[in-house]
Amino acid sequence: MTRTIPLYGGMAAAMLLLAGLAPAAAPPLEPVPALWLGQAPLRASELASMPLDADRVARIAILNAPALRPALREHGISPAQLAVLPLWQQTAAVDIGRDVLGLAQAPQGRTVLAQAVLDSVREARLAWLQLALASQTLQVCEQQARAADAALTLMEAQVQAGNAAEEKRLPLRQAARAAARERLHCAAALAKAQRRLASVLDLPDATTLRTAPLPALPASLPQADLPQWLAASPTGRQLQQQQAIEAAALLPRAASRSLRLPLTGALDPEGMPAVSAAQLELGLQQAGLRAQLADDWAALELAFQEYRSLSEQLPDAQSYTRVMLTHYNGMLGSVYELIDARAAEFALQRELLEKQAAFWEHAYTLEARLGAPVIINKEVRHAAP
Amino acid sequence: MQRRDFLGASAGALAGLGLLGIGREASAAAVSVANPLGVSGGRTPVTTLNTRTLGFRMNNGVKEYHLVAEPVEQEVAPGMTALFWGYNGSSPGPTIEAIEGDRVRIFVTNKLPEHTTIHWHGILLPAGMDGVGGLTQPQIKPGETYVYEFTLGKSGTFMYHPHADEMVQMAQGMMGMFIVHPKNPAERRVDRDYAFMLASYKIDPGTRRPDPSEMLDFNLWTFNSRTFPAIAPLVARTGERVRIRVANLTMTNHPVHVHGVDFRVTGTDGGWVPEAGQWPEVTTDVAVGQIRVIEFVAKAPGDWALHCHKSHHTMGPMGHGVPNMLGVDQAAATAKIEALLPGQHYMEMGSNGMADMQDMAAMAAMMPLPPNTLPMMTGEGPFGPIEMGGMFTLLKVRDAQKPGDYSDPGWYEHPPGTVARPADSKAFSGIPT
Repeated sequence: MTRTIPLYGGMAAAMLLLAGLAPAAAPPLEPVPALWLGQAPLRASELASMPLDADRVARIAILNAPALRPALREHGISPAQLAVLPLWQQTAAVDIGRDVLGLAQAPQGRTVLAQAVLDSVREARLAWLQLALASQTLQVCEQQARAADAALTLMEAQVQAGNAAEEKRLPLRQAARAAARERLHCAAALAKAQRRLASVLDLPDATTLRTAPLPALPASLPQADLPQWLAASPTGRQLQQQQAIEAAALLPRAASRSLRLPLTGALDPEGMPAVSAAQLELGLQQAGLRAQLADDWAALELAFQEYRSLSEQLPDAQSYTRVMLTHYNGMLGSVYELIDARAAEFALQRELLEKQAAFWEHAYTLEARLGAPVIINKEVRHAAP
Repeated sequence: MQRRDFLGASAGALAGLGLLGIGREASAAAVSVANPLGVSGGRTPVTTLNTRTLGFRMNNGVKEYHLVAEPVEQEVAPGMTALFWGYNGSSPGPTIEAIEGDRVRIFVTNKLPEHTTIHWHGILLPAGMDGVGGLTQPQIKPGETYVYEFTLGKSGTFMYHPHADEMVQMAQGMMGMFIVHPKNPAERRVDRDYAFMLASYKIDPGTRRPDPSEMLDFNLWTFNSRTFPAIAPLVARTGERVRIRVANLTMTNHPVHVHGVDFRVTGTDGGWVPEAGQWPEVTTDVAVGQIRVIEFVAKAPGDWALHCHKSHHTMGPMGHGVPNMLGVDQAAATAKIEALLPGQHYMEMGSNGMADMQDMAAMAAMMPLPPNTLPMMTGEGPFGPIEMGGMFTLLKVRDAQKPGDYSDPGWYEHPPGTVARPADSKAFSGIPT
């Protein structure tokens, strides 16, 4: 078989040549050995064929996330081995830190693996949150577009009847077009979220991802316990272990001289109590971790409070629509005011969804840092794949 | 204390003693059309629609009255109550009736949260009795009682209302009528003598208190602070001479139109109109702060409409910024709006006119109105919906109505062949149009 090779060079030309020379029926080369992956991709696809929630996504991530594979390989674990574990038959939500990683007994050297698993799960969950948010937002977005279209349709009929003029029609037409554009954005965001999640989980492009709704928020938040969290988190445990090693290597020593000012004249390392540079660096890292946990918790609390506030506002918005309907019934208010009231409800619903997703984003981020869930999602309980 | 001669009606006497209390409810359903007491010597007492005449007592030849300015909760029409300010338990306050030449002493007790006064609109009296707060007298502070005393030098139709924080207090319903009968009972005698005040209010849907800041866009157009169908009808026997005294304390004029009669304007708040100055009318315009007295002989029996001829004033509350749907094909939009409101009843309105608003009122269970709000149009007549509201009532003339009987005779029974009826197409075929 002869083939004309175009005159653009380098790698592309070489690949075309190879393609032309390769047998027509040869399967494409897999970048990752199929034996190493084993049944993990199949198991992941099975899980992904069901409505996705935070737990299913976490399981798929552990089985199939490309970002996790180097850490697995580094620690002598293959997805093929993971895929046959009985753990995946568990119907209750999997506690990654406890059930998968066994963090409470994990030796120091496995901190990197543990954190890699936790980070992969977090990344997958955040991608899933975006998908769930985009999916629900699209529905509201469509309602918003319908509201704008209804108002325009009525105004067009008024214009047609000779009862309204351009200054009334044009703003509604603009609003309807803007709502239609917004709907396009919402649909694009959904498609992008699907692509992103498929990529994070290494699922085939053709996979249709269905998602469960965003989980409900708990009625209240647990008490924050920063010292305990710091001690129990993989990174915190690692820092503590390193601090213990450093402390053991140093003989305690009291100060042997008084300090005199100016400080720039005090250059006697032997005169001060003993401390290593590593100890100081570990202390800094510990303080940084503590601050990070405090920030994470504060963000979670804020998202919780904002969601609560908005969720209390929504019934008022719904009541306002009903009130506007009574005004319309009595010819006391305009039908356009009624439609506006409903549209305001939709806008609030969108904001509520965003806050709901933000809350879980912070919750999953915190869980990844701590290695244990801070907020238990009681909705997750499903049949094993 | 001299001999107290209580001549007033019992309710009036109670009010005079200040025993009625504040905040009682005066139901529009309990329509007062009884012939009030208090006017003697063969004179026809005034019937004030939906309210009463104030009782009095004689004290050494002086007629003593007691007005109590106070908050009042009162029904405007079935389905709506308002928190008015009024006198002696109602808005308007009870009508004061006296006789030309009477010396009157009127005690005014202020049970309002702010000061007040009373101006005796149209009555000629000493300047210090004119009731303009700050100008002719100190303000009557809350809890205080002032006394006004003057002699009624001429007969006629007058009003009383505050002249203190007037914009607020009149917007809250503080007003009343003051009728002075001629000294000679035979002078200007009529068989029926009716009175009512035109008052407008802005009470937003779902609220109960009139908004005093409103100047033009009122939503309740009332006779004596009631709207149709809660306004009492005027009744007369065929052939009787009827007088109607109409006082206007709204912020606009009202062309008052009476069906079934032609009348003459016989008086204003300035006095009686000489016969040479009268001409026949069926509508007379009552401007702001004016009174018009009309008289006619009720010649034709029937149920005759009596209303303000400004058509928006014979409507219940309605939004004045609602879009015009007349002639609009709403079908496509309605389907879309219904989809936006799952579980709710949405119905397109106004494409063929607004008469279906009467049906909306009837379907209140399915398509509710805001609380404490009246429908835009209402009233069921013997032939169907009357589609009115606001300043609308009936003059009921009957052959069989006994003199002095003010009871509602019910719907008029038309003699056969005297009611408009559907026409056969053959009957009008060929008539030029």
